[in-house]
Amino acid sequence: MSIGSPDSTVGVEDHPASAEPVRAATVAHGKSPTRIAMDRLRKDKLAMTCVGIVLFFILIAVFAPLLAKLEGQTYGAFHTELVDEFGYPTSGPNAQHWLGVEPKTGRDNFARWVYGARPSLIVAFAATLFGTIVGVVAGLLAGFLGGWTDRVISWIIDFVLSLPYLLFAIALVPIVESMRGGSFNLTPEEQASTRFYVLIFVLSFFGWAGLARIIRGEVLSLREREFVLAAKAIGVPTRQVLFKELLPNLVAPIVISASLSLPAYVTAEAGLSFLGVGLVEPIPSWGQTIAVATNWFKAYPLFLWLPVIGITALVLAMALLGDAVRDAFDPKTRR
Amino acid sequence: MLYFVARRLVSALSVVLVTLIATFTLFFVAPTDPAASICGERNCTLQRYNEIKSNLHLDRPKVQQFAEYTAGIFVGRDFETSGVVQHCGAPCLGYSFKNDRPVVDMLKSALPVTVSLVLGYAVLVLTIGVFIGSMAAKRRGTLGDRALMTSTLVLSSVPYYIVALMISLYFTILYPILPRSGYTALTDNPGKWFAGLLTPWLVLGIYFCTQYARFSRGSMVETLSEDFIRTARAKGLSDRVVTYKHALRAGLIPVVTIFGLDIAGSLAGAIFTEKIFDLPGLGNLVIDSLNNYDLPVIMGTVLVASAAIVVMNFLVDIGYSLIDPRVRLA
Amino acid sequence: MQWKRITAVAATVMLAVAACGSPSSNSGSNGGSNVQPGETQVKATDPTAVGPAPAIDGSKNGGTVTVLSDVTPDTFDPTNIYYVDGNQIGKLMYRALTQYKLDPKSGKPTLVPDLAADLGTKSADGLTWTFKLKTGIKYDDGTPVKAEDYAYAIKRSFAHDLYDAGPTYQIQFFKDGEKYKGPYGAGGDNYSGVETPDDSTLVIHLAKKFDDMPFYAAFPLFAPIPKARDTKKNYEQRPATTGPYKVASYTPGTELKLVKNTNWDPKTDPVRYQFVDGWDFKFSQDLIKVQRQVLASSGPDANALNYTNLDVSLLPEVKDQAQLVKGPGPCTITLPMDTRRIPLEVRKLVAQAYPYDGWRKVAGLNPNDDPPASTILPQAVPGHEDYKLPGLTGTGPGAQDDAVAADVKAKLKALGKEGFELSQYYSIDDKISTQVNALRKQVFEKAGFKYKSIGVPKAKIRTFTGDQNAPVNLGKTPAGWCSDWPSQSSWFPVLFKSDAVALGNSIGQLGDPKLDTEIDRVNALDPEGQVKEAGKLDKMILEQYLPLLPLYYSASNFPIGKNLGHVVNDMTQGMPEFTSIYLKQP
Repeated sequence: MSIGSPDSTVGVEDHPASAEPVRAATVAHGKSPTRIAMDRLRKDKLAMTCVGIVLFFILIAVFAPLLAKLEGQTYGAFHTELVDEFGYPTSGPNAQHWLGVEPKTGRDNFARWVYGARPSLIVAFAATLFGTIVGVVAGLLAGFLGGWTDRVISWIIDFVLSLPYLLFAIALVPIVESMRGGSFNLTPEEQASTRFYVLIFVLSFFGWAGLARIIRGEVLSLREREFVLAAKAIGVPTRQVLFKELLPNLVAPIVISASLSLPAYVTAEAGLSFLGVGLVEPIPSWGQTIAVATNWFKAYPLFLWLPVIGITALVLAMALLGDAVRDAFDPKTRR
Repeated sequence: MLYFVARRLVSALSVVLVTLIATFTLFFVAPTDPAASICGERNCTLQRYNEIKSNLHLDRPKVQQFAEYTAGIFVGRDFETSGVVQHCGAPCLGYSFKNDRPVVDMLKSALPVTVSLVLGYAVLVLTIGVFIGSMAAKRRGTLGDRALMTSTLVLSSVPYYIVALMISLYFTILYPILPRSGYTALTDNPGKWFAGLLTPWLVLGIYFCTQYARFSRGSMVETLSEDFIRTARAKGLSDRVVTYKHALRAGLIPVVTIFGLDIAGSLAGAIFTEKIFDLPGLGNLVIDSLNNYDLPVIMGTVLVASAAIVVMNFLVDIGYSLIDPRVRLA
Repeated sequence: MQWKRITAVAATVMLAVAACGSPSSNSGSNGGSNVQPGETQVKATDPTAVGPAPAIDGSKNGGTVTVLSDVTPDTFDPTNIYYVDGNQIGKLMYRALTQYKLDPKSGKPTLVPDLAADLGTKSADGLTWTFKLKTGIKYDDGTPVKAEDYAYAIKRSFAHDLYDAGPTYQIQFFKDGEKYKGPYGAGGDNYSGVETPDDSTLVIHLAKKFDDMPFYAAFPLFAPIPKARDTKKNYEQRPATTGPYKVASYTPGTELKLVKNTNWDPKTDPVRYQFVDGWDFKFSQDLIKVQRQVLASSGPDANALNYTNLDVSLLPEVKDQAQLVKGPGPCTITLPMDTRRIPLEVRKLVAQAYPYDGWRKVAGLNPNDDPPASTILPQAVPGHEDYKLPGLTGTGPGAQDDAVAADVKAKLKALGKEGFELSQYYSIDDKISTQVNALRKQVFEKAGFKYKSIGVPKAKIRTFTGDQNAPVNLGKTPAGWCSDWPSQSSWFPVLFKSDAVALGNSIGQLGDPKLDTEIDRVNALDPEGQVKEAGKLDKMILEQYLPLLPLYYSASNFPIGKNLGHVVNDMTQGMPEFTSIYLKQP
């Protein structure tokens, strides 16, 4: 056991947080649990397919401007000449508009679809990042320091978890928005990006508590372990103990939690946009399109199916991947 | 035990209190202007605006406003609009000037809808979910188990509102094989009540029973490997009796726990169902109020929903500690 | 008169109509052609009309009609009703002094006496109106209607703080209107503006001449209210009704149920019928859903109707054109331009650049439903003259067309107004409003303007656009206007005179004394003279002042269930005429 080299992965190797399953798996020593899990994941064909799908969407989102350029369209340009006087598109998919155009406005479906992947992914990753950071720090502090700090943080965790999440998210969006400069005197672009940040804030606000509770639990059991006691005994500063000794042991729950929360955030973003409290024009997003397209589903099913397929495929792939990640770290769940 | 209950009670009450303060702060201290939205668009003179402000006591210090609001919950309060006093009896959660009704009245008319929805949902997920889960647990490892579990995993990974929306569009409108949804009060016409809620129930039940199937499978697997089951088997009890009498009873405890928390949460989570199936419940009330900036209604709904969750949490905790004394130490 | 309730919370009238997807129709005129001649409503009166109303062929008795409404009338208190839907529903319950009778063939309205026995007599100086009242009228509880009940109802309407949504002409025109504050305060009983010398006479004293008094007397405000039954704000729960139906139950915002009023005597009523047994109004329904339901007409939905114009996305689902009731409405929807902030020459360029066609599509209007407007007065107003000024026809590509954009740009440059800033509010949380805004921005910028759009929440936009001095130069409200009664006098003096700015009703914020004089001159003419001059005045305002771009006329195009008989459009309000509806198979 090496006390002096907290930066190495030695501690992780010997004392994985989810120690039991790894021991149970009787894998040869010398590999970190993370490595082991990754190896397992790599052999999982379903998981790899999901990785492929998620990567596909990430690439679409990253290269959205390029793809739209390739098609020769932009997501915001109105082509009212392509819809008839009743608002119905006059033609289906063609060489200029690969997936046809939107009813009423005549905006390009393909461009809107590829750009629509962006907010979903950005919101999900950003909210996961913030949620994870806050959750880990809060969990570490509560578990390690104990006493009043623990009591206060635990109480806040309980509090956040006992709020009706969806209801609050819906109510918070306009309020946070009005606190952040208000929705008055803004240009559409400013307004849309405000909503964007508000959404990330609201989702991470409700996302950190669950992780913090798990981390706290893990830390409670870890802090009584010899390597931590030893580090404390020889006077390693608290901050170092927290982040160099404990944190590496928490990789498993953090990775699991993050991989499970990604699809949840994609779902939440699109859901809130569908309800009309998420993203707003002119940012194209799948949830908004679904809300509009439900009125047209009979006359123009393609318009509805595009975002539906986008969200379903992305969320499904992410969720199955998250499940596989959890199984890889903790095979006990599969049995 | 008494100490444990007391401690839990204090913590639960503190959560409710802080929710109250937090929502109040958000809605009344945030730069929104209830008086302006009440005053309306036409005929809103400065005099009338100020009059509304003083009628609503919005010109008083925030702390006093908060005290009045809180007091209203316990003893009721009066609102004065243009010389007419509207009494808002306890529990008064504010007054919606948009609709000219106490918030509690609006909640009262929306609540039966949501409760009907949640009740049917509860019955369906518990029966179907637990049934599938325990079947799978018993046949653990077989092809059937794997197929069942994979399909529940896939279904529960698709966003709920997509499933609900597609079913509602395709099976109640385009190919109307399911009855069209709508709410009729149970007391008015039980048949209509049932028919109107059937589709949302089915959608909710099918979608969420997958989660319960997975919970109960996990819990049953755990229970089935415990010593007392082995003992029961050793006694020579039949497989059926072991599974459904001994194991299910023990295995259900964590499922019911989750269920208790879930029910409170689903009061608020019914938003999508209500929106998609157009049921005038709490969720639709919130969305409508949001569109009208009718803040007292949103605040009242959020408070009630939070309180419901806290109460359920509390009950689950107490119930749990009765079953499993170790919990009290935590 | 204000448009249906929904517009009160929406961007501008035009956007709101678009937002609820309710484009409307010009009596089935296809191809977006303009007003059809001969449809024009004439200001006709018939003081001699008596009950009962003429029989309708094939009418049957019995059954209940369900009205599934996506909008919610804010009130059913007779004093407080101003919106067209409240008015039309109120017509089932309340009888005022006068009422419109629709011609069975053309649908044209004629003003006839309702509870009054005549259409009022004006004194020589025009400041006193005397109405003779019918006798033997009873309320729904069987008690007789007394003359003082009419007086009380009028007094009640001065408590405008309490009934803040109701019409306000009595405050402007009646004697001591500005001072008297209604019957509830101290000395509230003493109001010298109304008198009841005997049981069948009602005398109204005015402060200013108000020749439209008989038309104003058709508002439910003039329905009698027994003082003993006045419960102020709660009156709408149990109102004293004189019409063919009475309130069975009312849940604000949700449902209103009406049942037959057995004390209504058809022989006294020249307008109304009592075919069905009851009415069930359900409010706050989902628009698309109920319209689909009504069109499908399965089961009880065959007895239902919805009074919002059919959403354009449902057009393919219309199997039977008879399920759509069409007809003209009383409104014109416009884009107002603040004449104080945009010079006339630039206003003309805005008119040239405006993308009428593209805008109509994005906003969801269509030619079957919303005839493009080229005038200020809609055809339902007598004196409406169908003229077309070049570039002001409510159609055309505007600066979406490259040549037009280049032309406007060049002219702007020639005026030295390159990059002239146009600014406008829009609803940030309304999809259509946001899209329309994006379209305008694209087009105006292409034409060399700067376009600044300010997003505000839908629920609050009226407080911004309603401010006559708001820091924007386009789209202040009122953006659409509807006749309170069929006369130019409810248009030009209200909208374009200098004092309209202070009253908050000005379109274009005009302040030209010359125009004021002209409007006053026309308004002082006798009714026939007004009809003759109205069209000229209309044209002169558009030609010389251009305070607005006419966009489209409101019209009705609402879906009805298959079992409903005799559903006609009431062109005074653009609503179905409820009282003459019957069920084909009760």
